[in-house]
Amino acid sequence: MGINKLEVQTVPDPRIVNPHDVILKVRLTTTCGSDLHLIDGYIPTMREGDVIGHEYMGEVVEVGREVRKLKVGDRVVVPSFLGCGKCWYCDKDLASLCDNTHPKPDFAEPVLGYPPAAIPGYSHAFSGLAGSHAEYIRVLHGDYNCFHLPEGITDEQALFLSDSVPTGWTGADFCELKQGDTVAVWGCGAVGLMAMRSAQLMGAERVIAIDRLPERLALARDRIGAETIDYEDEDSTLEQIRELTGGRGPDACIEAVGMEAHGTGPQYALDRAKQALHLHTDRGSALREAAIAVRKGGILSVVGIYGVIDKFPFGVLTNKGITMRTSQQPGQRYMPDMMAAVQRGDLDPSFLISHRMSLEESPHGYDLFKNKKDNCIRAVFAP
Amino acid sequence: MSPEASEGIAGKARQAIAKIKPGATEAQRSLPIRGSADDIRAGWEHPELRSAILQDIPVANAHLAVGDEDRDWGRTTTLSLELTQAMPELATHVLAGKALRRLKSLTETGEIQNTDFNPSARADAGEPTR
Repeated sequence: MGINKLEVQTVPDPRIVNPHDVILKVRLTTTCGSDLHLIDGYIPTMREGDVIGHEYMGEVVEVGREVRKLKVGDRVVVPSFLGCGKCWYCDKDLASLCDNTHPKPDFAEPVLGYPPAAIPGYSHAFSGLAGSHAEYIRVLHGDYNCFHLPEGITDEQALFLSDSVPTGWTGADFCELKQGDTVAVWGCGAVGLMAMRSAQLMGAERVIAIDRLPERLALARDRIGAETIDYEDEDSTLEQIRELTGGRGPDACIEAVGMEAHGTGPQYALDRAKQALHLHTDRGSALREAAIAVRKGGILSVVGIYGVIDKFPFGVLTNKGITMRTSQQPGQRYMPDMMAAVQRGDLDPSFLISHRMSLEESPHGYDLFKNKKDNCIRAVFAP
Repeated sequence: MSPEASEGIAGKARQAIAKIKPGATEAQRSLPIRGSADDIRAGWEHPELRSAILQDIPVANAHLAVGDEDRDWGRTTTLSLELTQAMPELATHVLAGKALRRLKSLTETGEIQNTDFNPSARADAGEPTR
């Protein structure tokens, strides 16, 4: 266990610690692109033996004495960031900024200024709580964070309401879309694809998808109906986007790639070299390109995960009057709308599952996912 | 990274931090807490709860001041700590913040989050941290 070294081991089961806790039997849990930042060693404060995983759904097997809305046997999905439901931020539907769920705020505060909400399985700077790649998981403040799944929403659909869908939904919501708008989305992974579909549901007329992997671009075209750009096939992605939008640029750009972006050209080579030498953690080619591509007065929505980036062209934002918005997803806020979209048949994220396997096979699943082998979009584990 | 190398880096980091502002023993932090003044003080004055709030913090003396409501944020609450040992000033403020966040969570939600009995593939997995 360590950088690029995953193992499956038998560990103690979680137990109820606080009166609002719930224990779930995990039915499905999945890889996430942000896990790769942990596995590759770019997020500090991981410890050997930590249990990773933060996108999951399951069944209630035990409830704390103050839990009122849940009972044993309930099938639920849990947004990956956990709120308390009581603080100022949760009151404003900003659960990923919750003031009260982080068990180790002193790990986060020196770097971030103020601690965010807890997310399980994502380093000690983000809680230290054991993650979902396990048979059981403890969920804090169960009444606020566990959402009952109605008949008609399958486990496979519900799984992605935990993180991929709400992250994409958040990115689209930030774009303040109006009917007829054009949105460009960098990254055709699960979050990018869900951002595209969410943008359509919020009124976008055209979606332009940018990636380099043919199988992912095919999903954007065939499953979403996006226009696609393979940036490795183009001399200039920016020129291509400009032409596709009549010379004015997209109304909004969503960056759904994050700190391990691929790219082309000398800037990308420099990013890779600096990252390898630990001079910075992030390869920011997608973020830079999205900032330059968006139209004047447009919105740049960032849902890819970043650490420390340098050479970010901030003057582009100022001189074009760009509004940049970013956040970890507050899935609790969007869950009713997301579930309704699934129930209406407007949103079916289950196509994101490219590989399904046991928990014991999860290191192999991460190898497929990380290295984009066998057309892997998401490896899903059924403990 | 080997444990020796890791400890070496940690040691250098501690030395560097200590040079910034050595020797502070006092720290103060404020946070808004949603609750009545009585509720906030009740958690602070309860011996067992105060012990949980100050767990792992080397406190010689502590003082709590509960202020007025700040719009819908809650009451501005200030915790002043005197520590039993000198620490870099940054660390003392972080510790005061940690204790105050525990009081805030206790008052607003009725519980303090921790990683007790947390599953992991380490020898101390599944045990209480306190």
